Amino acid sequence: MADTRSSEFADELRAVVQDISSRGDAGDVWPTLVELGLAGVGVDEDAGGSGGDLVDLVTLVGELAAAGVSSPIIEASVGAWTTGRPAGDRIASPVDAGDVSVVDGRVTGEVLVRWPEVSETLVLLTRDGIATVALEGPNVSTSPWPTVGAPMGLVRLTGAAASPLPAPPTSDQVRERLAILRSAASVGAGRAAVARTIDYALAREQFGAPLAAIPAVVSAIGMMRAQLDLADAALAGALREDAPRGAAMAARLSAAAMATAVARTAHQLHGAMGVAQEYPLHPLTTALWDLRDADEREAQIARRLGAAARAGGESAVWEHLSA
Amino acid sequence: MTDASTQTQYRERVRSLIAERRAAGTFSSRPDSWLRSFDLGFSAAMAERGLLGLSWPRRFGGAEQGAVTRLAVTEELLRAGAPVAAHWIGDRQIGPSILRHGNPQLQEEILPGITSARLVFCLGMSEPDAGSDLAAVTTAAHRVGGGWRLTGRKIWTSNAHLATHAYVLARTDATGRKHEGLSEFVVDMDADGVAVSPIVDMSGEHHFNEVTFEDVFVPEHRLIGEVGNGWRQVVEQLSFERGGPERVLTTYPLLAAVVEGLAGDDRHDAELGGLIARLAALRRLAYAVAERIDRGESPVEQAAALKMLGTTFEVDVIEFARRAGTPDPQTAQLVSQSLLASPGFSIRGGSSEVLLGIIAKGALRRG
Repeated sequence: MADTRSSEFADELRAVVQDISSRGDAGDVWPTLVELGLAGVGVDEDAGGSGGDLVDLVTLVGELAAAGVSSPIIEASVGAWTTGRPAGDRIASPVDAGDVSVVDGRVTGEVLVRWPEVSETLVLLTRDGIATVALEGPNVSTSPWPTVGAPMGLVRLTGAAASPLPAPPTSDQVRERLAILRSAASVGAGRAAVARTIDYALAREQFGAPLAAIPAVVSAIGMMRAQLDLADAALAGALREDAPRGAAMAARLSAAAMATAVARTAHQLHGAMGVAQEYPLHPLTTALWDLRDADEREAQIARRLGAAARAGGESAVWEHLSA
Repeated sequence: MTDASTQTQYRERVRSLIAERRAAGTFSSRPDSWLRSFDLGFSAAMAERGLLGLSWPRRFGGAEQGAVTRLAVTEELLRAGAPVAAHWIGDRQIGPSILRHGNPQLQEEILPGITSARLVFCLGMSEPDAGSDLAAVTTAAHRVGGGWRLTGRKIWTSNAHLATHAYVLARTDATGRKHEGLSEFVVDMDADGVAVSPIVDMSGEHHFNEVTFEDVFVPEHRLIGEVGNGWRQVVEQLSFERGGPERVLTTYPLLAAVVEGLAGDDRHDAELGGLIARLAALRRLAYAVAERIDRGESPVEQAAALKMLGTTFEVDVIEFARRAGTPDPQTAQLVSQSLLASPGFSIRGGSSEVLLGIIAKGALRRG
């Protein structure tokens, strides 16, 4: 299974995450994560990180998501991995900006950035390669963007100075890392949402019996559980050493489909209680909704994968895109 | 643990077998081939290349590989729509069951016959009054000198008219609870008292049958495992039956044709991408099930999830073909064959409604 590479490490992490999330109102959890060195997981120590590999980072991201902790862990960690600069209280935030061009060291366009208050640098995945832009610089203005889940900002770049970042990694490699981590967060949040829903269905009684006695409720739980197993298998597939080209995209899309199904069903089975601000379901479901279109929209990724299938034909589908 | 290079080697073996037979003009490809495409010559060729009984001991003609290797092989076969029906049931579930539970005489008699493709098995499970509720079977076996006498009726028995042997689930004790009086037998299809009559399905094809047993003598050694332990044994068999790529790839030949025909038409890219992602995830889930089987586990709920979601995918491929497939006779033929076979996908081997319940009960138990 994708989330338990070493169960001891996972257990340790879970304890740390539980401790963090139990400190009452989440408030400003990011500085705590930085302080604990968690922002540097997945980045080599000699690059200023905390060490550990992608699988460790996947475990961390999954546990944070399962605990309903909202933080820029993915943005910070991928930003650090891409730029080679360790993440701190302020981060380098990766932005998929495929229709933005760098002309004479300057960029013009509009992009959405996640966690704008915490970001000091944009790491743009542009048409011409990766380039960094200082968020506080001239020719850059940020305004709030309505969303669920992570806070977002709309950034207007009008001839802003952009410094190219030579490969490695390439834009595609960054996209792949983001896709895997978004999948990990979705699977974590999904697992917690399903568990909470099952607990509720077993405890809550109506018509003289638990909700879990109602056949339609049983079917709905079965469907959520199956979708979760599928997304988990896809994520495990993307974490293979020899993972083929399509694996990260497939994991991302499986996670998104699961997120839609689980968020909807978890709310449905919770009845009114599930929409109360005080009840801890909405941090999970808003994260699930948000993650579906993070970095690149689900529909866009699907189009890319479909185009690759069309271009490569059946043998590409079999060997690389669905292997 | 099966390494990647072993899997690759076995995939290549299958591909070269198929390529050879294609070149010789003896290869037929179609959707739902594992049920409807019966070719003793192909099964014999598989046997010659050591591709049957892959996970079984060498002394029975096996290759002592894992379930993961078998998955690699069966994936490649179904990808090509290969005519594997003759050996499928024996190789997939009866052989493994006899290996786990059969007495030595039964193992010696049957297993080499499966790996050499000489024996063809059909499944005597469903009855007119026992489909989803398999434990309700009333086909009965009572003890006589030297063995048993079997009487009853089985239905939806695919390829019984071509089989040499039947696996039969029968009641050996009607006094207690229905799950407790069941036993499993291997019966000769040419034994006295066995009669087969065809049931043609909506595609006009004949694979289903009704099989009646009238006082059929079954020698003692043909009992699989223990008397009265049939239910536990068959539930295990169902894990094997449900957790394989034939629950995902039944309509792959159609998907392949549609993909090849799309060329520059980009209108369906998003939908195609969604389908490819589902295919990838389902293939990985099948792999996870196989890995767990190799670890000696019984991944009942995962296998159920794979079948339930996989058969939905198989049908969604047909719908995609309607929207995106090129209007040529070959694609139309594949669509027709797939559509006519499609109602069976989510019913056979465990209906989706029942599977959902199994998955949910597992989740609720652990909750």
